[in-house]
Amino acid sequence: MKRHLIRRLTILFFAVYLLAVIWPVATWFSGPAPLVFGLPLPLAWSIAWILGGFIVLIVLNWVEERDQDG
Amino acid sequence: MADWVWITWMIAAYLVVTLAIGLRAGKGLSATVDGFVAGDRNFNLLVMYFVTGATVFSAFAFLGGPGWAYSRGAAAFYILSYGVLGMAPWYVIGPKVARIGRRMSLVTQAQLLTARFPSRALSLLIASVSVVALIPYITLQMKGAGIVIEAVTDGHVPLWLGALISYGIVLVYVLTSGVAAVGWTNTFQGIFMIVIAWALGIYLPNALHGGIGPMFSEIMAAHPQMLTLPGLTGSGEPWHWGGYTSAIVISAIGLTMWPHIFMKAFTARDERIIRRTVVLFPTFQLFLVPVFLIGFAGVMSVPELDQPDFILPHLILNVDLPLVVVGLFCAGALSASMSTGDALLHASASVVVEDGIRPWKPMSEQTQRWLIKGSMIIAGAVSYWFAVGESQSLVVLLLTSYGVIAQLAPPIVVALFWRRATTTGAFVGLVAGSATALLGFFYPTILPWGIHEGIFGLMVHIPVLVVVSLLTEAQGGEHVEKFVNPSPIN
Repeated sequence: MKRHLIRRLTILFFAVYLLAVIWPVATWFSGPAPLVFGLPLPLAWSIAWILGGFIVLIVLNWVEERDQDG
Repeated sequence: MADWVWITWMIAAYLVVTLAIGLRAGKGLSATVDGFVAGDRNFNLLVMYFVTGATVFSAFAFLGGPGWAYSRGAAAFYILSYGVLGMAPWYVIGPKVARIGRRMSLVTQAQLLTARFPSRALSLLIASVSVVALIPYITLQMKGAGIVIEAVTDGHVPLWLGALISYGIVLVYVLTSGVAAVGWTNTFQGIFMIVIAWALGIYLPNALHGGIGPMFSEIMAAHPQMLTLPGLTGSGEPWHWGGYTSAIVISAIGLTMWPHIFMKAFTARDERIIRRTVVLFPTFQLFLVPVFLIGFAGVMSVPELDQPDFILPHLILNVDLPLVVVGLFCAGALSASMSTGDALLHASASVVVEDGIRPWKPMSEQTQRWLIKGSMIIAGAVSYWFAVGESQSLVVLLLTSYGVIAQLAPPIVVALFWRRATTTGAFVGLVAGSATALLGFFYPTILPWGIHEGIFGLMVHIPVLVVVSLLTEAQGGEHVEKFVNPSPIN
């Protein structure tokens, strides 16, 4: 994948991440039910974004390092 | 032998191991300021990962995290939400800072800013802001260590003695090995914190409720508001969405601006290591999940505690755990406290000398090293004095400092990315932003919707910085280029 594209997608992802965990978007995921893997929805929601961030950073870094080496 | 004696021995063993690691870390380092403050710029990925993680997560996370979950419920999730958001920009900023630092031999945040915006007054201002923010932070870490030791030894080792011994050890290893000691002890302590947090976070809900799912089902049936965003305030009222949202935003902005975290950019062996540290940070962030589970485990089984921060020691001591678990918990809490406290002590002393004194009075490398060590002892003594005395006002001071520390973000960002920024703009912006944040702190009624005063400060800071910069004479192109577009190091 092109380096510029992945950089833009990363910035877009983190912008969406920020919006997803603050008002007003977070109000849609504010109630405790349903439990997801035994965890209340807002907790599971926060964890899902952390994992998403982890994956996006891995991909970004993979592309960056590949381009630098290549 | 009485239980507390066994536990005391376990704590002693942990402290001896930490001391040994800290003392060994300094072997082979150069006897220079670069060696003492930036570890000869030679930290590898393993050390950077744990330095970053263990420094970010302090005694506040280990004791305060469960305390928040226990008393304020879902409000605690803000702490989980901002970490990765705050660390992600470091993927771009960190390597750039490291590159400029290596080229211009910088070891502190203020040095970076005053290299771009030459002003001794700016340097002194940043040094003052940093120290005012760091001292209460150190105090809370010391108090955390003292509280834990006092609780698990049934009061046989009082707070003053526990804090004195644990931080005496911190001082010995940091004075001997500088930031290298911070690096290697944090690696050991970081592993300890993570393992113990996960072990207790899974064990306690199982022991008290028969599992994590059943625990949350019980809480949901009895106290649904505990699990509903934005959670509760300290007094049990529903929290404002404005407060929750702005806490995430201001904490994310401020996270890497703390001097003890920012300065670690100067310690990395190369830029790739900083980027990989950012990539791996989310795995450390998840450490908060078991920490919250511990707090929620107390909701149904422990009636209201006067001091919610004691929920973890309270559960540990009242759930009939094997002794070795109590000892390990104590070591984990001490790890959390000491791994942040050592970085804080080291950073505050480095900032005082490098940014507060040296710009006004040139001195030799050797004098600098001695002055940094002397300042570290003074910073330790002042914090200790606060830790054993009355410190209610310190919590207040710490909360204020978050709003002020976040004001360092605009000048750092423009120093690295905006060619048109000027020294006057950066200085006036910082003064205006910090003053506004303080105003909002002391007169919270002027802030609508429970918004954090740091956000209020930034709303004034950024326009002032931009307008004053545009109204003053632009900096020379060659000078600016060294920061906005630093050439790579071969």
